Amino acid sequence: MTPILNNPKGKEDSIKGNETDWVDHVKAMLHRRYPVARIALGIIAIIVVMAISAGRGAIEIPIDVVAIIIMDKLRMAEPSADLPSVWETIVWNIRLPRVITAGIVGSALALSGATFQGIFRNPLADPYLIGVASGAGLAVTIIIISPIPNYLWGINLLPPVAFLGALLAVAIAYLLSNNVDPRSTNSLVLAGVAVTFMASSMTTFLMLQASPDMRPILNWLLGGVSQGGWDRPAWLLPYVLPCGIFIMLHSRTLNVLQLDRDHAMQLGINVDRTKVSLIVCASLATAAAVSVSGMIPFVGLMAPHCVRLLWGGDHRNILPMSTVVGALLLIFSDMLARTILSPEELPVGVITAFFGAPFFVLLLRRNKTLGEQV
Amino acid sequence: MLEVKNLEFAFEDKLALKGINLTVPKGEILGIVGPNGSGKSTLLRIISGVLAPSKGSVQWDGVDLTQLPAKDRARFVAMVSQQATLPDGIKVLDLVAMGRTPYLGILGKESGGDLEAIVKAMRDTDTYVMRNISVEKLSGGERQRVLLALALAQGSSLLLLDEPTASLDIAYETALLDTVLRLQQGMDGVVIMSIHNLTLAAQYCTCMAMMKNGSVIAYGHPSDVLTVENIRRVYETDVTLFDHPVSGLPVVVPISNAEGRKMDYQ
Repeated sequence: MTPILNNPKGKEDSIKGNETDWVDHVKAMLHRRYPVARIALGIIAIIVVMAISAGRGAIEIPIDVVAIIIMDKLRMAEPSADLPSVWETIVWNIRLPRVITAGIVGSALALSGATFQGIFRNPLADPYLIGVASGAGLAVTIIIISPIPNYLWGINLLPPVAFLGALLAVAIAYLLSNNVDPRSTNSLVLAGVAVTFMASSMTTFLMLQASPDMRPILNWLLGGVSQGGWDRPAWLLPYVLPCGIFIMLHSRTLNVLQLDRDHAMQLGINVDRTKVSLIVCASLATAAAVSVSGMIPFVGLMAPHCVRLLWGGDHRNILPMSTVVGALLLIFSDMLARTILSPEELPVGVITAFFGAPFFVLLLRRNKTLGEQV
Repeated sequence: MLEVKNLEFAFEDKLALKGINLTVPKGEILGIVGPNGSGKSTLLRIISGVLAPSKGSVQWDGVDLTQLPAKDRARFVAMVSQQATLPDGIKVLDLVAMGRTPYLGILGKESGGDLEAIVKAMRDTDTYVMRNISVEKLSGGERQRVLLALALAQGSSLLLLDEPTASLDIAYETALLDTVLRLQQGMDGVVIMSIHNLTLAAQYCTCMAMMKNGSVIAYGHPSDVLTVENIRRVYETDVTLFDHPVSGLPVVVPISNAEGRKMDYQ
């Protein structure tokens, strides 16, 4: 600290420049808060990791061949005749949709996690910890085992149903924690864990009761992005994209919401309406992700925290960069899931839990003050 | 002109404010004094729009602030709260820039006018030098000035200060109130502050309202409000009053009731 700060009256003559310089300086500082270059680099990184990941698996395909196949399909290059057509099928029809699905699911989970953490001002508010994901999972299980068709008038029913389950779960967790102690940051997580266990046990019961062969549901539940082709990303995007845009447009508002409630209201923010609309969007994005890929824990916790550790607590950076890091994280985890035991595949949820659980412990240790509040 | 008309506020069937009427012309600094629990903070919170009154209105130049949408209201009135909790790691500049929230569009990018308001608020409070410092590293007095800058950046003509000098030492106290006084002269608005120190209030406020149990007991010039009888009635304690040697405004000195220390100031 400079000595000038100890002088209560301050000294203007010790500051260089006039007021116009100050305005320019402040402008430069404030506009730097939008990490445009960082996001651009992140998107390039995602594309590179996607291409690498599309080449890895039971059949290894060189990355330059992957690039040629993609360019060819996008009509950006001449088709080359000497490539085996089976490679083309593997890359374009199987791996690429899978890798893109992983990217979207990772983004959706990470962005939802960052949003929940910002709204509840709680660093542990991950979609899996506060019950949102397991609520969505229970709802999807009910639909899968019930005679209700998955499609109605050509619309996939799973995401909207998962959304209802997610909203119900977050509402229960929120009400429970508000009854206990609205100011404690950990009561929400504890209530969420209770909701999670409740929903998981009901899911297990329904699975066992429905059919002796529960492998299809179990496969979905353990988390994976392997099934389906291009219809998976097409099924996700109509939910994830609008929610993501809505949440991103509130990044500055989320900063203001980090002040206390009175303060945010005095700054003209309709606190309750904003919080509810953001919870709805984050739940919808989570629900869409869960309905496609089942339970993939800890992405919503790890990605935002890496971003916070690297670049600080400004949501104008946290939200876009969590989206980028979440995509990278899940694409990478999915690549591990299908190469570690190749040709066998692991559920990707196993990989994220393997990395996520120790991360969670580290986080608890870092937040010693938080631990004391329990 | 600020007009508070027949303001009532009930909380859990208990009347916290009853029949408050205040008319404050532009250019005034109104000091609200009264014992703890007399309703000072509640009154400020209602004027700021955080609480909705059960009855009555708060009008600024004829506009009823209690009926305005939050964003519009925030352009008329800004407040420095007593116990503001600030997120860790936020830089002073980013905090002050939040004052522009009611003016920003959907993308949240500050325009030239916003930047000028931010710079002016930081200049007026001498906080520009701290722009790159995290708020948790500030001292109590610096923090209070930064919060004042945040409120000023809001560009509103009604400024509310809830116990602005609480927990400040005498140097920071006078520095902060001098800043408020200086600002008021160039603002063409109204400043309202709740304050415990009666002597300090008398020196800085152009008018005072004394509250007890949710009602205004006395309202007017500090010399008229701060009388031995009023203070006894509201605080149930005996004081003696002197005239300030320079300003001529009342100086309030408590009389100790302890045995052996009872002094007769008369």
